Amino acid sequence: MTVQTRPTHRRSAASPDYLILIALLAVGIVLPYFMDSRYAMSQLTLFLIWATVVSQWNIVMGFAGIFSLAQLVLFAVGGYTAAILGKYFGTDMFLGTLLGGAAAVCASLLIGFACLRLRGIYVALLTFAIAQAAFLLINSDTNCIIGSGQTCQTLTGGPRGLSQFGDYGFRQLLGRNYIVGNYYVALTALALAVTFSIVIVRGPLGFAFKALRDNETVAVCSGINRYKYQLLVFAFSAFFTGIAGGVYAAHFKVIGPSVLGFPLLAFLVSMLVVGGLGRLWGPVVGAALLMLVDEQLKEFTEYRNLGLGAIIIFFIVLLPDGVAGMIERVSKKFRGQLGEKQGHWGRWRTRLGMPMGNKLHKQSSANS
Amino acid sequence: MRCQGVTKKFGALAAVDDLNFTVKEGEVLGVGGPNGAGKTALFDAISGVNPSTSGVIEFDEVRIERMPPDQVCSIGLSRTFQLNSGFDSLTVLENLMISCYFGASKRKIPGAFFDAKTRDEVTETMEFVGLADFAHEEVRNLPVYQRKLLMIGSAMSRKPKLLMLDEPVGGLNPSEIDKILELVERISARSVTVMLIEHVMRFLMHLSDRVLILNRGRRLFEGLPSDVLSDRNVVEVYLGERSANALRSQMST
Repeated sequence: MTVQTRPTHRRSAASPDYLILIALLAVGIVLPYFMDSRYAMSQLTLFLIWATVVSQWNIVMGFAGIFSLAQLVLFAVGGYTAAILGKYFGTDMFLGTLLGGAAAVCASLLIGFACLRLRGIYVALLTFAIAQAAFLLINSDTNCIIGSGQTCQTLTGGPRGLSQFGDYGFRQLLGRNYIVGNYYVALTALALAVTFSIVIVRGPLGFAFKALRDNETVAVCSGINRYKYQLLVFAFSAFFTGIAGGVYAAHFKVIGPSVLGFPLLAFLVSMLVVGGLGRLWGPVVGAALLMLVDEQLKEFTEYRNLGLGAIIIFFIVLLPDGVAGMIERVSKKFRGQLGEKQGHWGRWRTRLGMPMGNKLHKQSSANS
Repeated sequence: MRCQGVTKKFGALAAVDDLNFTVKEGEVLGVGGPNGAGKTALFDAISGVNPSTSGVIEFDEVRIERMPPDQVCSIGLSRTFQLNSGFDSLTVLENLMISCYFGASKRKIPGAFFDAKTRDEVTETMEFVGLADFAHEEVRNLPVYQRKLLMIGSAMSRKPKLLMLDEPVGGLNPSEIDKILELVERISARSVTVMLIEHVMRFLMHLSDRVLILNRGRRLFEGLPSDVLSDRNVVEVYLGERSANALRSQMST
């Protein structure tokens, strides 16, 4: 009994999250060999990009409790940085993508300093205002930096956006299969972003945010500085979001203010809600489902936003923890039944289904 | 720790009114007084949870009256709460890990994993307070005595120089009170300075090296526990003649 309940100092070999990640990654790596349509490859790449953005948004909103609507601003900062560097300085797009991530971190720190002293809905309002301001600023950008009149080129390209700034150069390497190259770049970005998510969620920071949610006064008196840790997570997740922006720009070879528009915001929020806010695997599930649904409803584009709205309402009312949450509940029930037969081991399994489940439980089971 | 002219006002009401006192290193200072005397408000002011309106609070020659609570914690001042407060959805072990990891260390940026040192210390703390058998219990399912132990354990895992206990035995039965009493003695023996609020006078008088009785935010009495019962003001305002007599006979046996 006592042996069982005492923690050991053995570090667990691998969390199930890493196993899931490796499995998904394996599927992702072999998938292109079964795809012969360039369109499908392109849509898959887009899925990977959105999944990256939403996974980071989920860390910010679902775990760190920052109700930020400026995630796409960070995405745009990453994308525009890569595009501008490529267009005016001929920077390589790989380097541009990394610098886009760095620029997004800088932007996130600025936004974070301004917003994170606030809480809840005020953070949402202020970040939404920032997103709208960024959208309008780019849309109304008329300062020519090169030429004038017909040949006028503004820094951001204004409402037309930027193009002809290069790509990852897979066309020379892979010929007409160049999209596969972009796909693998996006897959790498997503894998890194999800690894980062797991580290945050399962590590001390994840517990700190959980503690802040359970009892803020006690958490603060335990030495947890909400502002500092929120800013930290906001900045880190901005890096991967900015990277996703760079990949987007390089993949489509164009970036415009539409990435800051309301339709995309609604699309990504739907992914977050459908997948399950605050669930580690929610964003990936949500992004996949929404991309599939979007694909089916292509003919009805005029009803797209309406449909997204209906989906969001449906999930918030009936499945507030999303598809990932539903899967967890069902599997928990299943494991719970097993647990009655298997005693401590089963209870441990049950705990792992929780979004904040952790390795401590696993260790005790290693002893039992 | 030294408090000078500490005042906490809620509107026109001074919950703590121009209070001066010091806590000496290594001692146990008991704080008593009727409900609403400002005991918890004083703790809130010192720990930064609800900062004082004016006055100076000094700890180890550092002024802390405007420090945020997480910083106060990190310079070695740790407190518990009157209500049973913990992180309810987490286990005892996780609660202690969080307290130890964020409260005891000076690290600026948290790492990716809880380190082995934190684990060792938490194991030690659990055995010290007697929670080892409850390590994997979710805090919301804990009985009240274990919750009190957890609060003390969490505070201890932050490695404080000064431990502030707010009603550590409120709602416990006599045998549990004795066990907490013995625990606080062991804490004090580790040369941790203790400041405690308690209504259970037997507990307060037994543990304290000195006693501070507050009334309406002001000092009513400060001195040795043996002198509390002979102080007219304390008996009149707080204890009442009958319970003072009962306590006197209890103490003499």
